[in-house]
Amino acid sequence: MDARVPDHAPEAHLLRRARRGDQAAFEALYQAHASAVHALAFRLTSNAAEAEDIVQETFLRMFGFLSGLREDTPLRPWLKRVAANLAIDRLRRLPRTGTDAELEGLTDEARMSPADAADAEALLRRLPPLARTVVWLHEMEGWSHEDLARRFGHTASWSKSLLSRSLARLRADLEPRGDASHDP
Amino acid sequence: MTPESLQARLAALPEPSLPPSLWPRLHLARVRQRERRRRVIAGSMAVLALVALPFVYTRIVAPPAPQPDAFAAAPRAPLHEEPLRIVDRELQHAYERGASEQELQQLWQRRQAIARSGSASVVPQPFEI
Repeated sequence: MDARVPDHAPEAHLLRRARRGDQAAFEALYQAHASAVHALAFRLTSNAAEAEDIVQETFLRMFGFLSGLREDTPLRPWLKRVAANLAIDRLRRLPRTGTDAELEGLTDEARMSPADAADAEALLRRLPPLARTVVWLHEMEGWSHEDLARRFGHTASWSKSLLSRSLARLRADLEPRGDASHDP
Repeated sequence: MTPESLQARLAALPEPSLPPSLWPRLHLARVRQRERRRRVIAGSMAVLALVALPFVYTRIVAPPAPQPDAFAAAPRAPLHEEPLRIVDRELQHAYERGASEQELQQLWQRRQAIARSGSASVVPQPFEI
């Protein structure tokens, strides 16, 4: 017997109830996963309003796709994938910005306060949107370079290069002053 | 800074708090979405019915088969038989109005003359009175 079944049994039960239109089951599913989806959306967009829009759209899609969701697999990865794709779609609709130039611009430490330099969240927010999304999806969500390349319509080399430069930028800024060892 | 320590710093970031207003907002959006879907389905069904109605109508209520035109279908007599028909009609009218024996006799003679002179292979029979 599949050892995963008992873990997902309550969720599968909620899914079955939600398919029958049980409002309480919808809310329970939302309460179980909304925080994680919201956190991801906020990390990718660095914008509270956009993050809320993405959470709403993600759960609306889940409600509209209930019959297609498998009961034997956890729901959260599916929800996070949908949220990430929505964030990427928004990013791709933005006017093209020079991510490379923006990354270079971050070397100007005069624009960064000492408090910001020690705050990973602030540094993440300062990354260009494209770089921030690639860093977070690769480092924290486990997306491969192939996944990123496919989703952004580029090559895996593009993803590797952008990630490498973005991480170098983050590490440099997070290093204690006078102890910086820059990556090649 | 190692990749692991950077990942640890990112993982340790505090989770942003979920706005409590998001569930009511989502619930409202879901209700609207369902209403919109219901309207779209109803509209699609109506359009489908409108499109299918003429087809169904022509299948179920087939138009009556065209009746053969009585005049067109009636076998017309060959042209050379027309004088015979005229005399026959005159004979019929003569009998109906109780014409004199003499008049009837003349009509019969005319008819025999036409029948003899005509090339009709089959001599039409006079109408029954």
